[in-house]
Amino acid sequence: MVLRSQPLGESDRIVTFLTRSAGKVRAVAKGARRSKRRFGSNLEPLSRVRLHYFEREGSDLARIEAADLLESFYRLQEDPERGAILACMAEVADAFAREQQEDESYFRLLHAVVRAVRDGMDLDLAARYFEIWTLRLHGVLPSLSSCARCGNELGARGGVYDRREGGVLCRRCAPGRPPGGVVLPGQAVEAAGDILRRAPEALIGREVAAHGLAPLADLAEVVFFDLTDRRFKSYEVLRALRGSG
Amino acid sequence: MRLAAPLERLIEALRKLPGIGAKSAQRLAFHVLRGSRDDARALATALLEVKDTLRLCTLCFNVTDIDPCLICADANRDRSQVCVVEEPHNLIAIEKSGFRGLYHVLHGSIAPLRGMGPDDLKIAPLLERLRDGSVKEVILATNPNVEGEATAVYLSRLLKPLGVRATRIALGLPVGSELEYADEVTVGKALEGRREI
Repeated sequence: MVLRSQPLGESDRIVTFLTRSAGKVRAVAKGARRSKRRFGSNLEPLSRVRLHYFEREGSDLARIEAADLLESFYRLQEDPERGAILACMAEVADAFAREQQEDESYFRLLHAVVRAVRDGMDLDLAARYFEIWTLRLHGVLPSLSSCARCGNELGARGGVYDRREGGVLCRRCAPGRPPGGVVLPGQAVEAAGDILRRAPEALIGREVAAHGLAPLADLAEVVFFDLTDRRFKSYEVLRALRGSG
Repeated sequence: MRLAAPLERLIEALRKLPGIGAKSAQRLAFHVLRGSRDDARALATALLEVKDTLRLCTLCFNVTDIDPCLICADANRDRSQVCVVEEPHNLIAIEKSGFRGLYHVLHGSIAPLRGMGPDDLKIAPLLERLRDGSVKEVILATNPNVEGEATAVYLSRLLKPLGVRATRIALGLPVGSELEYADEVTVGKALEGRREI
């Protein structure tokens, strides 16, 4: 799946793909901006393509021979807000996917969530689903069911994510809010449980209250920042679009 | 092999231009060296002039040396139509088609992955231009890609309440191409934008 496509020189593009068998691949599409017959819309973000490429010795950029379109999500991104949410997923995937390392489960996650968005999954729920599972698949998701200190169930009282501990503490272990921490009310813990138990298509048509999802967005933002040391641009644009819309 | 320092500097400067690699930069530098002093001076003057005298038109935000630009100042143009493009070079492509209305250059598109949101574009001045009611149609000619489409949809939603007709340029098959080579999105767009003949 295409994660991003950037202009290169006068007529080429550098395209970043998330592949089933080789993790993240960055490749040059020669003439992609000039000849529409060669690639058409195939290299637009999130297109699922059958990619034919060859690697070049001494270069970390491969060269695309062909990219046959298997599934397009172009129309899905025409809506600015939906497009921005999908861009957030692509940007996160670009940051977490490892080059030349097989990561089929991450590919399947992105594909399944984008398809679920196409089939009507709530946009915020889809975004949280992708974020939580990104952290889980990369082994960095803190437990969202039990306290990282005492091991007790978080339950309906929820908990607090403590950055220093790198885990969620129950309200007894953390009665206040640690600096930079995220309060996760019971509804957020419940929503996370749903996300971790079900496939994205099983959540289509499901509405989760904003007060259940918003703390999970804050949690993902904090953990992403601690792991990558940067803020994702797409999230800023999404906020601007929502603010102006 | 080390070249003379001024030549190295020229090659380095030329290499920064889009589409110019090391070899092309070297070829251009030697061409300048072989050429006359007048030609070199004219080139240097033209480069500086571009930086010193060009600015953005305060009406349409096209690049200009006089304000308002020649297009905005032309009384013979159709002032009821404004064609919105992403970049000044997109305007040149539309102008070549014979369009005789006015323009508005956004200087980008909504591109989340590049951190470009609506506030980074010249959208507020566009809405300001429409206030007096003289513009009847805004033609959204942003690029036919995901970012251009999202920008067009975003603008159309802003224009609707203003009572201005918002139209999107037709998307589809390029003239001179063959149907069998077109991808499904392009053919879909072409079918969607079909017209009676």
